[in-house]
Amino acid sequence: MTLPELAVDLPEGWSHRRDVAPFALVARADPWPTRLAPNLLVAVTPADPGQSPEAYLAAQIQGVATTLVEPVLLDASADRRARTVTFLVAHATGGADLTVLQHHSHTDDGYVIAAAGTAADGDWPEVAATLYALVRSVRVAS
Amino acid sequence: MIAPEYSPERGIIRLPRHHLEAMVGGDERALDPRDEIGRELKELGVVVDGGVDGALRQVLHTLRHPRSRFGLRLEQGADVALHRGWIAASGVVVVSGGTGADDVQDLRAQARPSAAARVLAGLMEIGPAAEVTDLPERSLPWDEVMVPVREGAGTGWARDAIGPTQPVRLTHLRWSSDGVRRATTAMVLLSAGSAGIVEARAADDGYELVARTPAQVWTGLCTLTR
Repeated sequence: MTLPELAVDLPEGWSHRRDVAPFALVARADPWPTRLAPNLLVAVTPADPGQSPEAYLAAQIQGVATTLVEPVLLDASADRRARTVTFLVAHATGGADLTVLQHHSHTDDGYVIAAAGTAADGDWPEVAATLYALVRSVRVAS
Repeated sequence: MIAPEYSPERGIIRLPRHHLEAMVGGDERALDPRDEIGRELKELGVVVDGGVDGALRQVLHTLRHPRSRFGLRLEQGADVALHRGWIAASGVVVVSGGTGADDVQDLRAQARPSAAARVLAGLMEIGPAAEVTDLPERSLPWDEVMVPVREGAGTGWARDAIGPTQPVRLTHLRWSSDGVRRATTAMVLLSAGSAGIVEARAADDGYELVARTPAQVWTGLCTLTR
């Protein structure tokens, strides 16, 4: 996959945060019978080299607790050997009730690949296995 | 004991069970200030100008027209918490409290029926948990299943499976898919916080204990409520 070149006219005082997310991928099931299709969002961010997987996971969970509406942390785990963290959160939005599966991998060159698979709670039983496989499949291309 | 209180802007609706049932059933005494129920509801601010306060109308609509209902019993030692839920097109209402006529009921409402699974997960305190191992291979009679719930941490089957320190809580979820028929058992969990979750499944000769992950429980709740 080759990413297209993009152009955007940024307002004065805005800057392109290439350091925060130099790459992002969005994908979704299409077509999908209901309003909110299961989707995948991947972002790559610089890793904090001094942070343990457990501390990274705790920070992510703290972020979830402070940014999402009515979050319920359903599951969370850190794999020190694989340098991955995985967590499952249900939360509300203005118009939907969502389940988000996050799988974050630390790469050898100092980045974190953060993959988030999202589905409406009502669709979760149908797509759970697909989303688990999908977020775990995200990796650095060889 | 919880006191009756009506402050919907703060998410607080606490009413005696008898008063709540009178309103849900359309009992005229609820709106009559000459009656004790009506007078108390007026003093609380539930009844305003002879009618039910607007903030409670959607809650009452959900309670009167459910498409499904649930009952949840949480038990650990001598502590028992009871929650009842109604799910309708107008939302989800959870009523928590004792079964006596004067027992104050705590009402919590969500405006969308699709919130039901998350509401249940919150009540059941589903969260990150280790995988349970060393469960009994044979089916157990119910009394044996309940030993660690009733007798405390490290007793019965939980001694090997959960460990000596973590208390075990029973979560019994009952479900009525049409809101009318009597609710039947949908899920029986024995959970020990982060130490793990076990499902007790009815078998021919008792109850089979099966290790569950939080994600499996969540999938079960989403399946049940959709």
